Amino acid sequence: MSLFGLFDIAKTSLFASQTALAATSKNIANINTPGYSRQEVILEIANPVTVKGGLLGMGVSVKGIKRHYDGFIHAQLIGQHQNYGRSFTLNRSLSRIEQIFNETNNMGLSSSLMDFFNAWQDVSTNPEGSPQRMVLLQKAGDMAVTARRMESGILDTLRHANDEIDDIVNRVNSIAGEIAALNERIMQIETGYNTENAPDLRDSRDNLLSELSELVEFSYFEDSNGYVNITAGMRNLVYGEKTGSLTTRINEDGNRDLYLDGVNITSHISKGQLGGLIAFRDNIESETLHETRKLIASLTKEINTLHSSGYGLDGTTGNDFFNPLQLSTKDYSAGADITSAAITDLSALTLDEYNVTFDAANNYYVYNSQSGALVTSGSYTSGSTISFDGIDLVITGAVTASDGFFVSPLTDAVRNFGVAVTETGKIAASASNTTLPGDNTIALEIARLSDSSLYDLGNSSFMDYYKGIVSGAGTLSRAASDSLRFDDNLLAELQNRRESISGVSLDEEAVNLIRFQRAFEAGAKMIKVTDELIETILNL
Amino acid sequence: MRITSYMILNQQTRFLQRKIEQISKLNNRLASGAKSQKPSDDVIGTLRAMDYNLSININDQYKRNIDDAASHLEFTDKVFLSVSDSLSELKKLVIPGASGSLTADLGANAAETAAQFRDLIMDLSNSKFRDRYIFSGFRTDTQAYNPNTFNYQGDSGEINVLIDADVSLQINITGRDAFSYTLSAEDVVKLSDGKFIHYIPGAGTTVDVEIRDTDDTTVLDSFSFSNFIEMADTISTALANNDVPRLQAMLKPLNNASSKVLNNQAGVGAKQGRLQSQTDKIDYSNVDLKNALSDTVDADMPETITEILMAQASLEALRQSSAQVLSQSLLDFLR
Repeated sequence: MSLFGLFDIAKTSLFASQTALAATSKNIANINTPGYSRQEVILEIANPVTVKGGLLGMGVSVKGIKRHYDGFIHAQLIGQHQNYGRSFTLNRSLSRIEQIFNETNNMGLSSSLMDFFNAWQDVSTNPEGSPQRMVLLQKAGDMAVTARRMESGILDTLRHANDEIDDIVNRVNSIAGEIAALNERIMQIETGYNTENAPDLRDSRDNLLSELSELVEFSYFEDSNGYVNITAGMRNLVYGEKTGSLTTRINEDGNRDLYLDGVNITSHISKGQLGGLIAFRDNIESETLHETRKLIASLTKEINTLHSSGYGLDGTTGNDFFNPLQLSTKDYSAGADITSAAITDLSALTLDEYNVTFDAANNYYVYNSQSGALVTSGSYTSGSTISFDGIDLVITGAVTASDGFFVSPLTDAVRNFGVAVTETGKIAASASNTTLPGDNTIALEIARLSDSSLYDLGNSSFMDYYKGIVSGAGTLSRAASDSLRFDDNLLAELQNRRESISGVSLDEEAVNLIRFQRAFEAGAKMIKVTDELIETILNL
Repeated sequence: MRITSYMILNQQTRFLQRKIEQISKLNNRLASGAKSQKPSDDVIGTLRAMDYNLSININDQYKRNIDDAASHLEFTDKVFLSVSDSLSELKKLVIPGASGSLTADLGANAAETAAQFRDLIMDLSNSKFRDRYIFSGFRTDTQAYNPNTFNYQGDSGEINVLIDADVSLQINITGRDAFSYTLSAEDVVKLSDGKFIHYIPGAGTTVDVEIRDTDDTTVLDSFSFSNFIEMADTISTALANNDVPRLQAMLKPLNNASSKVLNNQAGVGAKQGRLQSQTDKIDYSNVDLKNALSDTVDADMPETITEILMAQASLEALRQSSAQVLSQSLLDFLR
């Protein structure tokens, strides 16, 4: 080995220290970069050469750059992000709904409901008094406005949820695209190496995975090419360098369903923000919104039934106090239409919703859409009347076994809710037109309705049923905020664990800085010494 | 476990956030004076508060109803008092007339006075309270008795007022109950001169009166009346004609009428007592309810303030320790 060989050894030392300093510098620079995993330069002894007396190392070489990273923790983090995303949106949306029913601040329906029935009591104590009747109309109007405002508040929140689903889908698609692009680059760089050779790109990809997991429920695996493949709802969202396209379509109920490559995957998505929004939508529609509509429909039915049996000061009878209930229908049939749907007997109406289906033998079946119980059935004839529970339905046209109709007295109950009586003289407080105007029989009966337990509302009174709605909204919101706190804590714990392995510690880096600075200085000194040695030789 | 400064930072941020959240919540409680701000803070408490509010509200409504009913009854009571007085005055006129001691002059005067009382009872029976004829049943826009024919024009409608859950009280008394003279069975009175007076129940509330001779079969005179106004009218006419037998015949009905009025007054008094005790009951229950409501919804101020002070102290300590832990690393000591 020649004396000049010393230069080479010293040179490897300088290079190694410089690379290590570069890694340290990069770690320090990225100390606050989310998702960054600290890197460490792996040094090894350079290939030794044979000298007299044995093998002598030829200095140091950089074997690689290692990323401190734990795949297991990362997988847990992805899962927890999905839980967190769901809890986060559920909590946010449900607390909005809760505000609509915020009885703690007297924001809900209870005070106007009480005022309404109290106004009837005032009419009952002074059946001929015009001021009491005016107050009643005003209170009834107030109650209607409050109920409509509450429903539109719920509907607004649901609409926001649907809009948000659309926004999130766009973000999911763009993240999926970025992941696919990263897949491609990582594959290109790492092909031929056994180690993970693209730590920065992998960090970016992991980061995107975390971001994606907060949005949507998915599962993923890394294949031998270094591709991360993602499936959502059992369909491919990212496979290698390609992506599936997530889209939304509006379904019959006006809600947005998720389609991945043309297949409806809505029911498979229960986590992530999308899962949270879907769960929120389903919960609120089937519980809070449905119950609110049922309460108002029941109020309309009971008051109108009593009121139309009474007589106004002007001797008229059969007047509705509130706008009458109307049926709303949905048509899932190509060949047939509902040509008429009417409530013929208000007292027989049970405030249920119905599905009408057909079989191949041209029979119709009417099912209660909540309980699933068969209400009535028979042989279908186009244009003939189907009667059940106080409803008359006429369907015209040819039907097939896949056809269906939906009939509901509830859907429009709140939207149409308003006071039909405009003149105080038409308020029916009296039970007979011969006993006017001091007869308060009907007014008393209506006032007493406030305490009556009603079959349609599961044998609870209006107020009790409403309390059920409030407690439902409160409990849902409470459960959501509890699980958000739980998921948040769990997420923080996992992030801490990830940080413990992958995070940059300034103290460590400061130590490394000194360590490699000193090594660099020593290497430089070595070159100087070698130079002096050569000079010594030259001066011989 | 390897700890990095980011972990400490992260943890401190969460602690700080949590403390500040707690302080904000306590501050809200202090500012609003309410324990919870939304149903999910305390679902059970919210429902309980709704119950209390509902009960207080409905109690207030019952109290309004009771006030209404009480003033109605008070007015009715005053009317009965006047009716009772009028009947006593009529009796004072009838007694001398029935003994036959009236001269024609005095008789004419007494007849005039009786006619005045007839009109007074007429007016009383057509009393209006808050623009309603109170003795007309449901026909509150119609006079109870026709001023010319003295016939009852109302109906038998009972006006009920809710004074408690499922408890109603009839506040009106129909003209028939208040002013009609009703007789359930034939009644006979034998006078000191041996004549008989037969009171026979007629159609509706009519009473047919027959004055018979000592043989109890020969009808000397007959007339009929159906209410206090007609009674007063009969008396007035009898006084004018100095018709002693008729005046004698009217003595017993007058007494009966007085006791009927007394009975009605007692009934009204009983209802007033009932209303008073119901008011007391509602007042007591409202006090209880309001206490319970306050316990449920109102924040405990001293406790809240103490909690805020505690939270603030710990926040301050946290800030201080954060400032020291976070600001230093090895780099600060490398020179």
